[in-house]
Amino acid sequence: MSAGSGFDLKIRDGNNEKNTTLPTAPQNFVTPGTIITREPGFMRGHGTYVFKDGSLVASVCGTVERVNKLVTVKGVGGVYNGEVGDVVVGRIVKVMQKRWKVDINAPLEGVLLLSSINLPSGELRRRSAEDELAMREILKEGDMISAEIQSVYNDGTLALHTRSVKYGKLGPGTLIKVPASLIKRRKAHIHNLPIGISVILGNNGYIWISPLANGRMPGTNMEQDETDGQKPVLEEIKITGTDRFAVARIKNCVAALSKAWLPIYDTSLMYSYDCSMKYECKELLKPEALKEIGELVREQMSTEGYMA
Amino acid sequence: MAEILLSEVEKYYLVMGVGQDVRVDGRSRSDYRQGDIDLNAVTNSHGSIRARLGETDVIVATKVDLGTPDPDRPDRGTIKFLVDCSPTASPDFEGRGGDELAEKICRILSIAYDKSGTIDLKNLCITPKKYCYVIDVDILVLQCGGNLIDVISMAVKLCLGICELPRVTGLRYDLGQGVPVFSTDEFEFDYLDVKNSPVVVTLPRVGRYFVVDASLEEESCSKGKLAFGVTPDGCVTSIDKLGRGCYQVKSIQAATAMASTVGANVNNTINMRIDSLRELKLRADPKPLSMPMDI
Repeated sequence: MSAGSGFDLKIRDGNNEKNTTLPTAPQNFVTPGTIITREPGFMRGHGTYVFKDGSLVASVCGTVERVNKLVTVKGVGGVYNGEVGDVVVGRIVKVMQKRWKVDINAPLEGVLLLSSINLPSGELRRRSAEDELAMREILKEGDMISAEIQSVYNDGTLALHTRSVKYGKLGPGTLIKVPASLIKRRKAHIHNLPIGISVILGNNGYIWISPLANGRMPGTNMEQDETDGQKPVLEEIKITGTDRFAVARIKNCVAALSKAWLPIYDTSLMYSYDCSMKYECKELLKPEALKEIGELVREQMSTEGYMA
Repeated sequence: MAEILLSEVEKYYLVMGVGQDVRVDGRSRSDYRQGDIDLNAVTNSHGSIRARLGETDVIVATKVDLGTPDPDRPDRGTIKFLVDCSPTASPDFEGRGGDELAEKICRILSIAYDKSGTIDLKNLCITPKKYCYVIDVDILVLQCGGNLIDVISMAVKLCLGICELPRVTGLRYDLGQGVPVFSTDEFEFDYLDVKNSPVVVTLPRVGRYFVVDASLEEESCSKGKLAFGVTPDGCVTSIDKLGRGCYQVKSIQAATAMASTVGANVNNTINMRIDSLRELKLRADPKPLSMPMDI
């Protein structure tokens, strides 16, 4: 294959692009400004506000949900608002006194306290001044971590923790960002797929794809009795070409699901991976391929009843 | 250009991948991302193109005007470039941040079209020393997703290719001066011959290899870039070094050979698109701007 032969610039024809496979909007779908009810006596929940004439108005796009007297609008898109227990993938942006600031795609940066991580040596002890000075050796600006949300402060800031072996600093891999609303809350977010690739579906819309188990950097955040004093060396991690193609394929499948606005979890991801096998990895970048995979997955999922 | 924060592990994964010829999205080192072109993005111009390649998005519009030739070159017309890096494209472009990059790109384009001799500017002259066509090319960067200069050069070539120059039907004598009169017939115009004009191929060096059409992440991992202007027959018209880095002669030779093959391919595809676009434009409702009658 000659170099640069994959290059193609298509001339867009507006008429051919009409999307004919849009799903119909569900019942109770509202847009910002829609009056939900004029009757008094309802409590306003998230996504609603009271207009000056007393009527309840929606402030986001979504479906109206009512529980007794509480009316909420469950938004369809929008920014990520974290809840306790969510698994997130984040990037360290600042190293401060006794804490790290983490970019987790939320309105405010997340906070990871020095006391919320496992010390590299695996000891259980009080953090000292030396620990504070050595913070950059554990996590520095730019590092990727997987963490769980411990609590939410009054102003909405999310406090994270990595006090478990499955969380912590991430090893070689790649990040892809999708809208946060496409990642539904499930029992497990860290999946080690049967193809030898691990995927962390962060609730905040950041997805980490890596050939390592749990996506994690080996030798960091280990159990207390597993430490052997060895510092992990990045250069010793070898990744084969097959693994790289698998990671790239998963990355392109995530892009296909995101473009088709389909929820992303391990089943939909594996469906799309199987559907994508007829294309070469880089052919998945073509818009027709993305569209086809989106449609196939949507069909398969609606027949299996996942679209409820 | 816009640099993003990446972790060591991401850089390691990316750079080692380039070494094994498997990039992060599965492409090889010489593969391009997907792209498309939109005609008539801007209505009040003589021709406009919106080009997208991957995440990078630019709009180019041309306006043809009557002007006087440069006193040093009285028998040639002029093509002027203006690049605007909008702050929406990248946080780096806020305020005056985008100006340095804009100037650099203007310079690369001017060298490619002015000095490389691949476009005959004599065709733009109407009356030597007195009147000539002045083509203003305006470029707006909507989104910077890596490989900006290449996309701009492709869009500029497409836009100049579909630019319609109204034909001069005669001279109107005004106080002894002969002012050109332009045809009012919508279908009487000439196209600019841009078949041989170059397209830029930027090759950042990631690790020990050069890659074609780098994404933002790949550019953030690169040490310097080499930008080559390449004609449809593989001839390299200009080389620019961007960013910090030094190269051995062997590396530059390897990069030149790569740019030559890749660039020829890209340039020929662009030439085919120009033909299709010209047809498309004729079939659509032509609404050209009227030419000013006096300077």
